[in-house]
Amino acid sequence: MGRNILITGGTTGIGYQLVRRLAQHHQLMVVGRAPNEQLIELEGLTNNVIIVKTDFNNPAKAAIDIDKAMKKAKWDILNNAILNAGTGFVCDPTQEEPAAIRETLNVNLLANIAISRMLKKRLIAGRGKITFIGSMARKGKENFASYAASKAGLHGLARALHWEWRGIVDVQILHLGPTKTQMHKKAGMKLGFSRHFFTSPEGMAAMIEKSIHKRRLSHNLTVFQDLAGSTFLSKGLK
Amino acid sequence: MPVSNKVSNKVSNKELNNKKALITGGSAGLGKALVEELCEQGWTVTSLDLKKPKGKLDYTFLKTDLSDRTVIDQLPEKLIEHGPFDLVIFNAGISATGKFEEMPISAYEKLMIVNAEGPMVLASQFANKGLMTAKSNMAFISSLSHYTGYPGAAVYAATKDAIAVYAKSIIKPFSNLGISVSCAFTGPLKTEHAVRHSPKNASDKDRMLPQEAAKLILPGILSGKSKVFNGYKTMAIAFAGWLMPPVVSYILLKTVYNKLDKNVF
Repeated sequence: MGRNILITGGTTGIGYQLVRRLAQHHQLMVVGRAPNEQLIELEGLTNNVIIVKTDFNNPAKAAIDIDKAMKKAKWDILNNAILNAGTGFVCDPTQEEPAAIRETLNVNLLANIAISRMLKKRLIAGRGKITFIGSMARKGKENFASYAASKAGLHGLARALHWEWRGIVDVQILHLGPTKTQMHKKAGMKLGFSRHFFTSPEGMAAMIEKSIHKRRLSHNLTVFQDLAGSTFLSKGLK
Repeated sequence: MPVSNKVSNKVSNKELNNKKALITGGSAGLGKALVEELCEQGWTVTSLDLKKPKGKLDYTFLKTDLSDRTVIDQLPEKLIEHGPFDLVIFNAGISATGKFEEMPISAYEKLMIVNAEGPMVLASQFANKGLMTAKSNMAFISSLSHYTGYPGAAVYAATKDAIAVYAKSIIKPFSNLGISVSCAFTGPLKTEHAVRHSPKNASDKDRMLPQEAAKLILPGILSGKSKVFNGYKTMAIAFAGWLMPPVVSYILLKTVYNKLDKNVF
């Protein structure tokens, strides 16, 4: 039934909304730090959702955990990997703690490096595709400096892999605009009037699903694409 | 008497200048060239690297492993007696070239620490621990690959993209403390590092000598320019990469990635 899809950071926010959309038709492996109750309920109700708990702050171990779970579930082929897990801390870069910088780079960049490296064989077998979730902040943002840096790094990684793996595994990166998730609150950001320019997690998940079949290396998904109708004009993942 | 002339010139330079600089990775390649150029101009230089260069040094050398997180954490404390600095250049960098999936994750971790995480941690620590003077320059060394992509060195390219965007992001907050932030994008240089990581029999006639590159990027860094290139040729390639990324990436795929015969990390 359907595709084998890996979603990292699928336990909350946009990732969780993606899980809800895709669980109807596909086999999912959802990886995250702390599964929420609804997700556990979903796992109980259906037999096509597997939850894997891991900490992306330990990239090498995260890759091993996912590899183990795939072996256990007999996933020899993978059709899609949506590497969505991310974290960030808002602060003045002159005051940023080393631990915050390290966690941001580990979760947003090094974990994705370790995981995509580990997935390659299965992706070849499944004629699969990796979708990295980037950010519009990748061009640089003061007070969000290490987050912006990590997402710029992710773009560089995707760009190199897109060419290295050409003809074997498709690689794309989607740069998301601001989304109404817990991340900004967790990151310590106060939203004023600007919240009107934030997309809902549901809308963003829909845009991601409908951008996966696109062939270009990178796409920006912001409130403008949302308003322009990209959630209902293009095809979903069949 | 040319020799004594040179010495007296140096002394007067030192008196005139009286400024302190810190260079990471100052024992080879571009770092070495930067250290030599600054000493020539009369700066008091501190260099951090793994290996001490041979011979008598006219600057301070501190043996430092910049791929070790504990070493990095202790570094600001250790550097207080050598500072505060008027110029810091995070030049140390390593690479890993070959097939992405064939290199061990430990090599990537090291790459990330040396090229991106370390400089980022140290930059914020230097700023808030008073290791920079109130009118100082800080510079990061990215790569031309920021503009072109680099198949065959995916993680290296990722670290260099990260550091370039970090540098860009901190310009404003750091300027409030009087620190101007630059990022240098260097094209291919004639260094041991480059030879190790390029395909066998690659021609080096288009590579620039590190001494020449150091002379070209230092004035830009010292005047606080946010983006510095080593010459117009590098700038032209960057522009081409910005204008048509797929074309430039494709050329690199054909000329670099497809010719790599071994993994080097």
